Amino acid sequence: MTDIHSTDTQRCERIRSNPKLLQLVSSRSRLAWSLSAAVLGTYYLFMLIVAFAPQWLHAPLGEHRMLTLGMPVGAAIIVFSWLLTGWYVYSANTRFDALGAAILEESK
Amino acid sequence: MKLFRTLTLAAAGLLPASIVLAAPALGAVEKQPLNLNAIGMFFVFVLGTLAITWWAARQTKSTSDFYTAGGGITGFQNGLAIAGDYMSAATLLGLSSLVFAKGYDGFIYTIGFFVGWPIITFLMAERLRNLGRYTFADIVSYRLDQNKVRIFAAFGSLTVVCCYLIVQMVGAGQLIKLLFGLDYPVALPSRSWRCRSSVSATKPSPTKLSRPTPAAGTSWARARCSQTRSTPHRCPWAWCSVSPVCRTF
Repeated sequence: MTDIHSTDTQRCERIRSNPKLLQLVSSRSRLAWSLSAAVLGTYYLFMLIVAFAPQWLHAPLGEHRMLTLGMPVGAAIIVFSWLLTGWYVYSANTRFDALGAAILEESK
Repeated sequence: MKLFRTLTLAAAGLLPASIVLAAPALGAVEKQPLNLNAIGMFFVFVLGTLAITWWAARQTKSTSDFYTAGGGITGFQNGLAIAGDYMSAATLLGLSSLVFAKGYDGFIYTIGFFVGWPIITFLMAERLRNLGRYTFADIVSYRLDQNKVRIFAAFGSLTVVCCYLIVQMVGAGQLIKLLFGLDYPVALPSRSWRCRSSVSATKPSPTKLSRPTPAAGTSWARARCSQTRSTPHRCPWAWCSVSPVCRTF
C-alpha cells in the first residue's frame, strides 16, 4: 500500500513540476476565458443596443425591404458563437491534446 | 432515501392535476376529426424509439457507456445526439411560437438560448471530462458530503422538472389533440408515453484516457465509494488536463 502511495505521489510531483503542464494550463485557460469574453461581450453589447438604441435595429435593410437590420445581426451573433466553438474544439483536439499526451509520455 | 421517495411521489401526484387544470387556460384548440393515419405513424415512432432504447440499454455496461457511449462516438454522432436533446418540444414548439407571437422580441430570446451553449463548452466541458464525472451532483459530491449534496440536487432537479414538464405536457397534449383529433384528456397520456433516447456527451475524446469505470453490475455509487477509499490521496490538481492519471493507479 505504501509502495503504491509513494509512486503515485512521485508521479504527481513529476507531472506538476513539468513546465509543459503550466504552459497547458495557462494557454488553455487564456483561450477559454477570452472566447467566453468574446461571446458574452458580443451578446451583452447586442442586449444594450436592444435596450437603449432599438431604432438602429429597426432600420430596413434597403429601400422597400421588409427585413430589418436586426435579423442579420441576430443571426450573425449565433453564427459567430458557433465559429468560436469550432475554434475551441479545434485547439482542444490538436494543441491541448498533444500537450497533454506529451506530459503523460514524459512522466512515465 | 425515504425523503426522496416521498418527494417523488408528491411530485408525481401533483403533476397530472396541474396539467389537467392548465388545459382550459390555453383556450380552444380546434379539434380535428379522428386521424388514424397520424395515430398509426405515432405508434411506429414510439415503437422505433423503444427498440433503439432497448438496443442501446443492452450495450450499456458502465457509467461511461451510459453518459458518453464509452467515449467511442465520433464528433458527428455526438452532434446528432446533442441536436436530438436540444430540439425538444421546448425548442421546436416553444421558440417557433415565441417568434410567431412576439416577432423580433422572440428572436432575441432565441439568440440568448443559443449563445449560452458555447460558454458551457469553453468553461465546463473539459473540466468535467478531466474529472471523469458526468453530472453536477457527481462533481460537487467529489469534494463535499455526498448524501447532502445529492439530496439537495434531487430537490433542485425535481423542482425544475415539475415546472418544465407541465409546460411541455400541456403543449404536446394540445398538439396531439389538434393532430390526432383526440380529446385533451386522452391526448395527454398518449404524449407521456413518448420517451426520448439519446446519448449526449460533453466532448468525445479520440484518445481514450483510461479512467476508473465501475464494473458491470455494480451501482455507480458503490463503485465510486470503493474507488475513493482505495485512492491513496486526492490530486489537488484535479482540474488539470492530466489529472485522471493521478488517480488511476
